[in-house]
Amino acid sequence: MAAEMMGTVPPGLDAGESLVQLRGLKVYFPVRGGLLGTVVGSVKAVDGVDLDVRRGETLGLVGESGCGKSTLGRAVLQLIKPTAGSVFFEGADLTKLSPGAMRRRRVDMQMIFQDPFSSLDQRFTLGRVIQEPLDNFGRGNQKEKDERVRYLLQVVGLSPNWVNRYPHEFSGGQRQRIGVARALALNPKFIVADEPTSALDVSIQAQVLNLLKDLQGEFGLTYLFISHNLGAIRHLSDRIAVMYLGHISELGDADDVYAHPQHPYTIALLSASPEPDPELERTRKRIILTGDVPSPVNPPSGCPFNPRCWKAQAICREVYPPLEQKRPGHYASCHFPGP
Amino acid sequence: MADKLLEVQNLRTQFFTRGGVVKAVEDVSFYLDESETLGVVGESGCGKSVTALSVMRLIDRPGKIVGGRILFRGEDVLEMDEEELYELRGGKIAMIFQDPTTSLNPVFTVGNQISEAIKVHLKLDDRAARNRTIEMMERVRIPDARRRYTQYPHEFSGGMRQRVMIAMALSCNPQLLVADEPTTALDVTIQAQVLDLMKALSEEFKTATMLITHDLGVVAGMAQRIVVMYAGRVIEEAPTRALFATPAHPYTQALLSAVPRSSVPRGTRLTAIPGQPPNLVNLPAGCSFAPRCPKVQPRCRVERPELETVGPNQRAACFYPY
Ligand SMILES: Nc1ncnc2c1ncn2[C@@H]1O[C@H](COP(=O)(O)OP(=O)(O)O)[C@@H](O)[C@H]1O
Ligand SMILES: Nc1ncnc2c1ncn2[C@@H]1O[C@H](COP(=O)(O)OP(=O)(O)O)[C@@H](O)[C@H]1O
Ligand code: SF4
Ligand SMILES: [Mg+2]
Ligand SMILES: [Mg+2]
Repeated sequence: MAAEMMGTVPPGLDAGESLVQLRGLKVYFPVRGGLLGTVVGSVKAVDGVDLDVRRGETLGLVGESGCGKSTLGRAVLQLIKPTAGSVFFEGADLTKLSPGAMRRRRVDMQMIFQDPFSSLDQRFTLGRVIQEPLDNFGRGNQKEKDERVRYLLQVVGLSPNWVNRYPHEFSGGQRQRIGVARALALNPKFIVADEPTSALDVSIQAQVLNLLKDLQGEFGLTYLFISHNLGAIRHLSDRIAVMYLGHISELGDADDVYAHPQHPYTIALLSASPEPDPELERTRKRIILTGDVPSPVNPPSGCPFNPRCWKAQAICREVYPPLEQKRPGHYASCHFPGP
Repeated sequence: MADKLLEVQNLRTQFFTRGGVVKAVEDVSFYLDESETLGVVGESGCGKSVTALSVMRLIDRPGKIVGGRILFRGEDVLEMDEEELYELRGGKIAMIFQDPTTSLNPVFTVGNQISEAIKVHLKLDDRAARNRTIEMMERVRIPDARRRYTQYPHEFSGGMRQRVMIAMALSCNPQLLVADEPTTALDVTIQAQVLDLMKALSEEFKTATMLITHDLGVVAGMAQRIVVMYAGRVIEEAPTRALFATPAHPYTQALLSAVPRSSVPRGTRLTAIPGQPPNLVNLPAGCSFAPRCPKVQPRCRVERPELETVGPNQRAACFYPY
């Protein structure tokens, strides 16, 4: 019984505590080749992820570029159709919903992007940009919408008098606030924030991180916070999931993951992340990984990290290590976890 | 007194645009000693790259160096003719950038490009240049260098391309390496590889490095001294330890407390700096940081603070340091 608790039980909770549950989630992209453009393989961007996001928490998703973070975030919101697996939102499997039912569900989940305006019409005024989700879902008359837009601007720390200005008139940090206001328009429960501060300078990043934190308290939001920046992830997250080559390699309470990383990749990642502290930099032991991240088209057999891992043994090249509990509430996918 | 390796004095570089004169670099002075690593930090747009390009005299229209002196071993770079500049760039001073793809030609093999640079600056024949190239590729730890000599840039990953740039930069034994955000585009584990390599090689080759970055963590581990820029000016200069332990300028202080770091308990509010950097066409009177400064006094808004000594080897441009 105890062994079972520690071992095979997926890091799941009942639907009451979890807002979002991913089960066996896979997203593969076809790779085409040759003159005819036939499918010659697939990019295994997300390759079998089980993950829960608890109500009211910030789950930080960290990993290096190309490991599948954005794809996972988009698949959770059904902006990409998963190749396999399920996404439960408040217990309902989104992958099985009719388009109409999915559309109604969308109100509860929003996304914040690195550059909120890359996908928007630059000719729209600020007011129109923030109001658009309300229009799409037919919410309120114009007077109510105007009021809501002004309220949202205030909430994110922008002047309500700016409704008639255009996005290009704003700085990066202000644009990110506009993106946040837009995401809040429909009163969502869940927000996927994909590298929301990665394009910002640290002084502005701090403003946006503080804002996200404040809004979470004020509106009871649940965040999936995606970033490659370990400092930002640690600062905002209650729990952290580390991703490598389409898999979750480690998952646990933020402080425990930072203090007692279990997976060699997490250990290397933390040791490689520079800190603004010369004494620490001088004395800390840095693990320098060899080589690059392998291609997700031909991932290594066994543990995806094995070609770069200093602990790897024969079993690591043959058997995929399941995500198992190694410390209370702290899971790792490694045959030889710990320091 | 012996000449410094590099001494920049009162450098001013401006861009003459339709929107007005962008004062990208205003009255910037700093120096580098032989084989020293100097960190140049500051947020985007503060003038780091323009400073680096000015040192190499690579400023093109609509930009112009409008004042100052740039002494390399006592010789003024601003007075050099084309031939002297040619010897300087790539020979005595080498530069690497954030995006190595822009400095590598996609249609030539990597080996070819490194050996061309070597032939020109070291006056070696084909065979010797080829050998030197392979040796350099091995020294930057590119695996299987002999085979990869004949590969094209697109066959290299981002981290490997940056190694190629470092190999090319160091192949002619420069006295100064100007590295402008060399690891900003790289993932953190690859960044660690490249920084580790740069550190080892600069010690081995006794090359001085001007390391430009927006990342305070990177300079904390790499630089002996640091120059902090804000709105086109140097606002603080200090030995690395002093800068982090006792930052004198309110901007440096604010920058340091805005970075999320492991010694700060999770969830505590970061100290954000309100507002944003000023427009370089229309700078405020007085101290450029005054509109965002928590310690601002009436004097700061009318008078410009000069860079003055505030501690051992530490200088700051603030009326109310510490
Ligand atoms: N639309 C797509 N078509 C093909 N490959 C894709 C697509 N989107 C992402 N990928 C690939 O999937 C992998 C994961 O990408 P992504 O989720 O963007 O990673 P991350 O956000 O962690 O940087 C990468 O190898 C990427 O090239
Ligand atoms: N070619 C150019 N034309 C006009 N302005 C420029 C040009 N290059 C740089 N600038 C301006 O000079 C200032 C300093 O830029 P830069 O040195 O690139 O900043 P940093 O490297 O610190 O991010 C910025 O305000 C930038 O907009
Ligand atoms: S399973 Fe093996 S290869 Fe993978 S991380 Fe653990 S020790 Fe390293
Ligand atoms: Mg991404
Ligand atoms: Mg720059």
